[in-house]
Amino acid sequence: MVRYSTRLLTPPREEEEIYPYRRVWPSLIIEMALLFGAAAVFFALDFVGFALPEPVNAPLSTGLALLPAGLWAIFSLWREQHVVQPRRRLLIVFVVSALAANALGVPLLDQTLDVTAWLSLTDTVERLLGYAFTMGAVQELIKYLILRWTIWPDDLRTRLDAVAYAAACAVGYATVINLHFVLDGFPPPDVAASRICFTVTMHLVPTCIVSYGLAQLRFSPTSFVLLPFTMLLALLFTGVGTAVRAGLINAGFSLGISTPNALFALALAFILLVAPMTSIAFIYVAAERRQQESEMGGDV
Amino acid sequence: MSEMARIEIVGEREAASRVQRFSHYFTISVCIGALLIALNMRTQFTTASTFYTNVQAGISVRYPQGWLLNEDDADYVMRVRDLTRMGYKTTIQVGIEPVGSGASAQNVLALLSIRRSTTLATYRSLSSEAIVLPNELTGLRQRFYFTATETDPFLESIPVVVSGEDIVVIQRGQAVVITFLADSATFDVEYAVFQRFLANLEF
Repeated sequence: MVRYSTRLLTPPREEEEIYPYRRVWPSLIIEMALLFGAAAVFFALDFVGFALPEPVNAPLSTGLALLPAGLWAIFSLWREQHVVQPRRRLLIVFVVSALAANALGVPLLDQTLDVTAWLSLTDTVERLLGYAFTMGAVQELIKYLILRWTIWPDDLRTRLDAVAYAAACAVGYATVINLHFVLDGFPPPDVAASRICFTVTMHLVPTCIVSYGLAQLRFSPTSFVLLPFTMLLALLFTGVGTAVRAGLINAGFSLGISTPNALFALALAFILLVAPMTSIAFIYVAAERRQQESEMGGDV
Repeated sequence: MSEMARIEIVGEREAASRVQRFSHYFTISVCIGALLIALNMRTQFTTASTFYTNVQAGISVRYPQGWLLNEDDADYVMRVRDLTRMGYKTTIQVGIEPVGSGASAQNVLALLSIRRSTTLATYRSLSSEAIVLPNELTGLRQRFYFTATETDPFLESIPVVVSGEDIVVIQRGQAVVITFLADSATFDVEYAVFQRFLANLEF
């Protein structure tokens, strides 16, 4: 009698290559989706006529200002601890960025340059260039110097390390700006949410643009012009974003009650986030692929 | 127990290439250049001025661009106000008072103090001192303060302490009174605007 073994013959399992780093783009997408989702909830509440009681404004607005940092801590910092090769300086970059924003960035822009006192009265082109060369230059220079002196070049092991550190730097800086905004009068949550989303966008995108320059300089240092070019692009992005937002949401003149349109601001922030970040991700992927191809070509 | 030696294995730090060094210097230069352009823009905008002349009163001056000019009042020849400022609007005004042959600048200041103490809340004048104007005329300067309240009660605003400065110059039988008014919290910052106004004032 023939007996068959219950064991099946299976081909040997191929060893699956373990990606040793945290994947940056999914973390960023989740963080931003939750942030904009929270903002959308407050707009929906306002749209259906649900008015939050006045005493809730202060804690809610403060919570919203801290939300980007909280989301970053959960989806970037905490997840970083569970990978084979974590990026060890994320928290340092975040803290230094927040401290530098509070000690240098905010006083320089609000007191020394006093941007809002004179730029708001200029025409569109002057305002655009003015915001780029004041707000953009101060903020991006501070963030660039932090990245330059904390992580460059040894902590950039892959190109995406630059994005991870840039996000930490941007969220740290934006959190301080957001706290300054909400603690100065505790605006209603929908207004605060719109402003917070915009601030995070206006820090995340330019810092990621500069991060591409840093990454290329680290891994393909062929031209010394690329990093300054990305910096200039980041400044212009800040200028355009800030000037367009001011023009778009400011209440028009009317005989009745006119209020700024915070929903436009949220939509603008979403567009300013998604379009450039998609392009940046594409450029990163292309650069990575080019390097792999050149390495493979070298091996052959 | 023997002491355990601790050995740290640290990767050798890569030296930055020439391209990398240049790139960093160039990037910092771009930001500093942008800031210098911004400072230049700021100076140009904050010192931009508009020319004003009044042939009848014999006054010509450059006042800050964007300020609202008013000539329709018997108390002054011209008055300019910064309407973009929150709270009390920073004001510069020039008035002319006919005076007798024996009148001094001190008399004019005393008269102004008496008038204002009846119309302005908690008006207090401080000590006066001689001053030489940029056009080399001598005059008398007096600082004062009062509290201003929003005229619209529905705005529910707190009264603002306003600091002011009068400069009186006696010339050709008339007293030229130049007055600067600003919120006392921003008086020192705004005073630079008044100094530029004085530097351009001719009468």
